[in-house]
Amino acid sequence: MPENELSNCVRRLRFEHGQMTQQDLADRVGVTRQTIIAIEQGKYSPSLPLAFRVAKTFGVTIEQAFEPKEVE
Amino acid sequence: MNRTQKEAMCSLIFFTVTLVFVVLILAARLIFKKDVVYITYFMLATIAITNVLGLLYVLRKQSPREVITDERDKLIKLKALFASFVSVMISLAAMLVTLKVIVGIEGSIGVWLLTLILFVISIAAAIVYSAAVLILYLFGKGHAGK
Repeated sequence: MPENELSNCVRRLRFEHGQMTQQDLADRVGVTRQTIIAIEQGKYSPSLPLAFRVAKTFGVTIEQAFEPKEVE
Repeated sequence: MNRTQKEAMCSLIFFTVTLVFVVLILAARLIFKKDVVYITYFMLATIAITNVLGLLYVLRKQSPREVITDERDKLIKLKALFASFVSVMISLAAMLVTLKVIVGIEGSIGVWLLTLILFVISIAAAIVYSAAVLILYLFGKGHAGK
């Protein structure tokens, strides 16, 4: 059964929103900087509430911030 | 490093130092028949100093609004706890088998040895937990809720 993972463009969105730092984004969504790093590197798939908070911070929909990809 | 990583690193250092000192004291007392008073005082002083320094390091924040723990921290701690539990089970099994081989099934051991075994297993579990947290931060992949 394929394992579903998320790809994201959090890093690109950060740079597009005034070169926001990872720490700044982490403070805004209520997680640690290490979690933001892990999300950007694809090592960690966030929970739904966290994904919504990230999308809301950038003023985009959750589909624009995260995209599911199937991994065999 | 975030708070969880710092706590894990400080715990790892603290418990490893404690284990080394316990082994040194036991070796000095049981094998070389030396007086261990000074080693014990040195150990206690070292542990006290590392505790204070560790606490100051852990409490220092990356940013004023840094959260103490988040969802990924909880996931990593849960996995590390499982690893620690498995290490306790394996250690206990290994100790029991070793004792059975050495003293035999009808043999007996002193109460002090049982205390020592439990103490060493506890410290080993703490070391495994701390190491697992640090390793999972470096190499672990995760999904929220898994």
